Amino acid sequence: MIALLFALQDWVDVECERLRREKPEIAAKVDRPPGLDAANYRQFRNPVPQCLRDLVKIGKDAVPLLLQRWGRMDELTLSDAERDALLEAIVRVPGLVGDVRAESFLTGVLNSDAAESLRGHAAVSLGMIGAKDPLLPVLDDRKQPKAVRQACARAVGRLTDSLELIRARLDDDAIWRDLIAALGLLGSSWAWEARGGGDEVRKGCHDLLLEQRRRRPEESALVDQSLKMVDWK
Amino acid sequence: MHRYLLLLLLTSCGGGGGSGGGDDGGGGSPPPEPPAPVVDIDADLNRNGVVEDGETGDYAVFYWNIDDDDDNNAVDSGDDLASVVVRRFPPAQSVTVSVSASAQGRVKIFRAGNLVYSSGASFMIDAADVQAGDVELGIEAINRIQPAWNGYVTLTLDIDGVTDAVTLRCAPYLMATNLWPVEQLHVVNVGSNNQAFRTALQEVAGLAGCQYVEVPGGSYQNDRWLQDSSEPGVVYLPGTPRKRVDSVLQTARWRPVDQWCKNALWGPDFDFLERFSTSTTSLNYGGNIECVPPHAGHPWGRVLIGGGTSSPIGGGTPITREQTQVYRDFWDALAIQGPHLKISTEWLAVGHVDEIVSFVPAPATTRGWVVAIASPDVAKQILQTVKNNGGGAKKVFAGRSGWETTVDAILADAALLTYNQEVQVRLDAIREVLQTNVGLADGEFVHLPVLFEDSGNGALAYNPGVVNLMPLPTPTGIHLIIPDPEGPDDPTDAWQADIVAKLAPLGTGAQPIVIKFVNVFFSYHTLSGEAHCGLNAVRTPPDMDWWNP
Repeated sequence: MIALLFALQDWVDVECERLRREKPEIAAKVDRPPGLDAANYRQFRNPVPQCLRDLVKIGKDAVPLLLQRWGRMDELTLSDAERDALLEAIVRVPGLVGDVRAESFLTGVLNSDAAESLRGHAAVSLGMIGAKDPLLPVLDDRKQPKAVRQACARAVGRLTDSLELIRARLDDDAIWRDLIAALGLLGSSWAWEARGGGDEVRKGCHDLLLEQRRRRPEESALVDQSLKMVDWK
Repeated sequence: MHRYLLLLLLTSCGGGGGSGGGDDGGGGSPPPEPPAPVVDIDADLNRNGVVEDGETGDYAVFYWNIDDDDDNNAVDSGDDLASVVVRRFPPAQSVTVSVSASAQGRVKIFRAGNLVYSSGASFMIDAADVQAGDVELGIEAINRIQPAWNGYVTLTLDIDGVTDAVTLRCAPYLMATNLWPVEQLHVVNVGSNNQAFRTALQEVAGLAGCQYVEVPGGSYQNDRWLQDSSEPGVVYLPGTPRKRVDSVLQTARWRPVDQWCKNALWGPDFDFLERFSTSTTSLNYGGNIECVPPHAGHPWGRVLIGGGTSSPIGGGTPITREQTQVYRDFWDALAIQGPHLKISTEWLAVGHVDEIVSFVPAPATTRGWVVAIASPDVAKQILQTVKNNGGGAKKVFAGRSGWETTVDAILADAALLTYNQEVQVRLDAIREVLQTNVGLADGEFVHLPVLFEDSGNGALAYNPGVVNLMPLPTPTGIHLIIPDPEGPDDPTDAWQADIVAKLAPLGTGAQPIVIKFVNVFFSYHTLSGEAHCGLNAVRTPPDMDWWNP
């Protein structure tokens, strides 16, 4: 699976070569994240492997190096916890730094036989980079693991134009709670402050959430959390 | 305390002639009856430090003897005993003292330095000794209060089938609150990495008149998280004056600096309450064990911990993280500061209450304290104001390699802001829990600027978390050690200015709030902690009796 994902990723190798030549310090931090070195993370307040935060701060330069790492995990000697932390970071960093170059990689992970948690993180990252098309087939495929579909549902909340897409799926009980969360993410007043605009989307989210609260009063606490995110006055 | 009169049949001698009468003024009245002997066991039921005959009250107090008066690095036994007196009684066939069921094996009883009870249902006293005079016993606890034993023991004296009983209560460990003045301030010296922090602490300790104590980091693998290692408190025993025994509770953390409290603090009149779980979850750490200061129904405050079940920020499969049950049970069994109150912290990477709330002495307020609570909303609003003033390009975390950013960059990061809005929703819910359970008004929360970010293991403070502060109250001022948030200059640090503007008015002319911002960036913050995490303190308990609520 890993090899297949990278058969078409020539840009990754080219970009990694450039980074190692021009920004060797950054490359070193990505190639061997300090947060995966036991001597370091044992000094953390909670002494567990942790590298996502450091890698996100590197920004988009980290992405090709991480994608290359995905195919070369065997080069590192890692404990299970260290390995899990790194794999999660590889899948999550592209979304958190908004690197659209990783779309095909993330799509590959989403459609792979990787752990459900990784597939879920790939889905959310796809949403964060605005890649709608890879998400919908998995979201609508009821044969997919529930946790992966739920992650796809939350991922569509990261898109900026997904109101109708969400509305159309609110009868699907398996993902209903995640779609409610997605409406909170989609309508997030703080996110729209960052982007600018969004009043129409937020108003739509607000109305849809109120409708869902009337429909399922027993879930009003969940819906209210999303309403607080939308914060439509 | 109850007494049961022995039924003694006093018979007159000589058929009514009054043989023992002597001249009693006419020969008609009988001699005065000798006092009827009673079965009587006494303890200091009025808790004045002395056992008197005939005391009444609900319980006397005794001590879980875990200090080290002889400084031999071993738990004491046979000293610091609470007295129990079996009163003199005429000849009897048998004298037995029984121990209430839940206390059996959890107390030791001595007589004249000799152990007379350590297990079982009862022990005997030689009847001849009781006939000869009062028999004094001494009692100590050898086990912690817990659900299976609430600290009470009832000793029932049985003399030939007639009984009397007395109840004693083991003095509970009382956790310090942030309102207690600091006597000693502790920090781990990890060398140049936290030199700036330690220099600032020394200065504040000098101003606050407390002893500054450095723990040698080299002896503890530079484990700097002293707050997490142990929880200082006190045990109070009746007496004139009341006896204070300092106490330090070791947390179930199992990391190097946990041993420091045993090595350095344990000693004469200083308890060491050794950890009692093999669990190592970070929710056991001391930063997740705080005490809400005194409030209605809780004159000694109430233990506050974090944990629960929820989805990570951003969604996903709910996770459960809890402080280990045996510690949660302990807080409740202590009773005086229980039942514990829990707020949701499982979504945080470390998972501690001190990452999101802190209790700050506030002499200018009616209650005398407020809750400092982390607020992404406030942090964002301040950045927005800076931007609106034309300062979007201003640096945040200026000069911090790999971390420096700008106001504009933060405010344009939709993912970061969405994350923080979710955190804010959770913090609002936590505030409601505190309001409901403690009875706090909106105005008793001080919202301080803290943004959060995803660590991969949960939420961490994005800027140095300013609620992770350390109060050093003194009669002449409240000294607050607060992490430097390293916000944008507008013209001075805008986050700092907000903190000062909110906290300074909580002081008075006699007791001003004195704030010291300390550099924790690379010494604590980037390692997932802040200022409070790296400190601990021995504090002066209030002048009040826990046994007289």
